[in-house]
Amino acid sequence: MSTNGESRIGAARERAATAKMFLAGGAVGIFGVVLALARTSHHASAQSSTRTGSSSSTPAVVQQESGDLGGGSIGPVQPGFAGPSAGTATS
Amino acid sequence: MTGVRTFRAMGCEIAVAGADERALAAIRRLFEEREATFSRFRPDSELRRVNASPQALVSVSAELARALRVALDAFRSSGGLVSPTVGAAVEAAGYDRDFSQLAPDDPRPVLPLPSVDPAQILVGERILRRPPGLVLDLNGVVKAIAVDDATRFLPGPGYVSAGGDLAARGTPVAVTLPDGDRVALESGAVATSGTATRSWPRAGALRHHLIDPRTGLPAASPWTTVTAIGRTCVAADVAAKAGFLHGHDGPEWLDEQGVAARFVSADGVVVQNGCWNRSLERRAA
Repeated sequence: MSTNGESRIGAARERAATAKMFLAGGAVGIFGVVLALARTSHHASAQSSTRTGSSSSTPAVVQQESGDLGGGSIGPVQPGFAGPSAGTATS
Repeated sequence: MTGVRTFRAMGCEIAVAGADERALAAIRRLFEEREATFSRFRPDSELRRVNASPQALVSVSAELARALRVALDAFRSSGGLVSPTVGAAVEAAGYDRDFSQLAPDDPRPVLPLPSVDPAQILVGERILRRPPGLVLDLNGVVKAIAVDDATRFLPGPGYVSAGGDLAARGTPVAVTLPDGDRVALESGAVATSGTATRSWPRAGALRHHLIDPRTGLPAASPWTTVTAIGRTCVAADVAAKAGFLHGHDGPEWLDEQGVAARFVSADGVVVQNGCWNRSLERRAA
């Protein structure tokens, strides 16, 4: 076989290898998307919540999902109340 | 504790007590970032980009994905009434620009726009799948999330309030309610939702932003304001909105969830649910 013939075969093999890598990469990419959704997917019918992440501007947020409602506590404002005051307006 | 400092963001006044200069700057930056991400009206916001995308699968920031997860949790915990899929209905009701820029009156009728079932939404760390054309509205939770996040910047006792949605840290706060009564918030957060502030005339009637996803229209509720207490500002705000949207059943429904809540009707009648009354009595004893 001539040198030119060998180089053409070599180039063809290289293109085939590149195409295989590309296809594999694409498959991995699609698989990655599916995996990302499957791992962390969260929709309204879910009974348990995925608790994740924080933003770059937020220090150490543990979780923010509303979860069950309730919690917090109130009492009457006693005479001599020394704490700060604020208002709650409609939002 | 340092005094109260205020600034404007997200279309309302933000009040911060107990922050030093560094904390105040961080809190201000947090609200500005959230507004830039979640605004329904800023053309360059991420939410606008997502809502405009014709693709079913879109890449989103971690912050938007997180807010959407909170909103989907809110849908579940509110009995399916606080929904992130009512964006198109809010716009159809006339709230399609910044509140300060709404027209004095618009004669066009408000047509019902049933919302998409949130079960059709899948959200990952940074990816979202939803029906193209769905107009997400995360305003139901974004402001409260920002309040909860902002309290973590406080170096000591204090509170953060955004338009009256307030979370306290390390100190009780005397909170004045919309009708002038006062209550001491000893822990957690308080939020008030209703039609007293954000309502506008449209086709001869007052409309508001609290959409009933069952009808696709502004909810017909007997309440003008609903104030609720929660572990976090998100929990309080979702509870207040749910109480409003559940209408006459709101007080009992929130009692079943263990939420202290106070309702004011259009004619000024005040209804405090059992959890609210018990909480006050227990503390007074």
